[in-house]
Amino acid sequence: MLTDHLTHPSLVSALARDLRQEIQPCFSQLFGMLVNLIDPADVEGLESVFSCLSFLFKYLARILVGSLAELFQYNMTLFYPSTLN
Amino acid sequence: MLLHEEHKPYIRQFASESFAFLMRKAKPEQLAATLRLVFADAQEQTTTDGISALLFETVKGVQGGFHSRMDLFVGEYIAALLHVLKQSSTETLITGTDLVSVAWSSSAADTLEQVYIRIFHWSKGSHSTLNALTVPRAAPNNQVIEEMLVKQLDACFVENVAVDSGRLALALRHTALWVLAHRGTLIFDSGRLTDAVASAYKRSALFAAAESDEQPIEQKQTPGKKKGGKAATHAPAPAPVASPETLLAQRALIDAVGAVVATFAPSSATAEKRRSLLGLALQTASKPEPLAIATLSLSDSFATVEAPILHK
Repeated sequence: MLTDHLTHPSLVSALARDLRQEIQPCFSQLFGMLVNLIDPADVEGLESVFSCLSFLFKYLARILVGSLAELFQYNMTLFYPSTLN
Repeated sequence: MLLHEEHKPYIRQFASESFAFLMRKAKPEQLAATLRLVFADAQEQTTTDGISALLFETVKGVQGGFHSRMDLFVGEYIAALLHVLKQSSTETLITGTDLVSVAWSSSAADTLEQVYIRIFHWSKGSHSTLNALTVPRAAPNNQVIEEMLVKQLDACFVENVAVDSGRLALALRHTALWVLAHRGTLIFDSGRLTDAVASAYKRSALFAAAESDEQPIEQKQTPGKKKGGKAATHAPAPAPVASPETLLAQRALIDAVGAVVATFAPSSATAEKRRSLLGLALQTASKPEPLAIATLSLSDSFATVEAPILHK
């Protein structure tokens, strides 16, 4: 699967820029992957994750805004402490 | 979720900044739907900080300024919060005065207040505000905040529609927050705020029962609002048992008047202005007040108000 090979966040945002709406089906997967990469101890990693997230939002804004509520809910449910680990 | 307290503060900050970008792009109906979810999640205390950061980032501009549609966003926040509060109060079957304390102390309501406090801080950081009362031109961003507060108050009064007491309660509560913030040093136009609270008092007719036999003192200040005042007197007399929202609004109204009087009266330039402020306070205090606690908070403000007035 595509996401298995994307280990560097900056590649993800570059890919999103090229694919635009075609990346939407696996956006939630990408999002989950990115959040799993968050490690408070790794400053540079943190920076790249969030700059990637910002670029994703920027490039895909028009597509994502359509499902804003779902996206928010998804963020919420995925990262509650109970579902973490 | 990323806004949860278990994450480090800066992670919550980054997450709210990036998601706020999408919030700003949303169309009104999408925004409303999302905000209902946001405030539903805000009912948990652990999310207060993250969610208030998200909502603040949405309206934040550059250099202490704000998004041009801030009043629209904040109006949506209030609507969404009311929706969530209403839903949770029907679920738990809380009625009467209990709702007053429950609603005010709920995490969802607290979240919105945190948003306001962040807004106040943001505006404060951009310039010296020590002399905001005497040098109003130093505070253009504060004027934007006051415009927004007055707009939220005005939004509660739609012609031929009964006043939404819950909405009014929140709007008054936030106005009081602003008036009291930093001891009133951030106020741009105290007269405008006084007028807004006074006209909310007139138009809401929350204390309509004792209204008829009194000469409204503050009307002198707001000749343009006469029409609204008239509409209020035509409103149906309040039911014998006040609804929880009405109690909330009455409480908030008294708090707001208390805040305005306590903050502005000592520094009011003219004796006439001071008298009209005191008149407004006395008028509110003389109403048959169902909440004894509320009058207590008012008497607090009298202590600070009367002293300078009597001695000058």
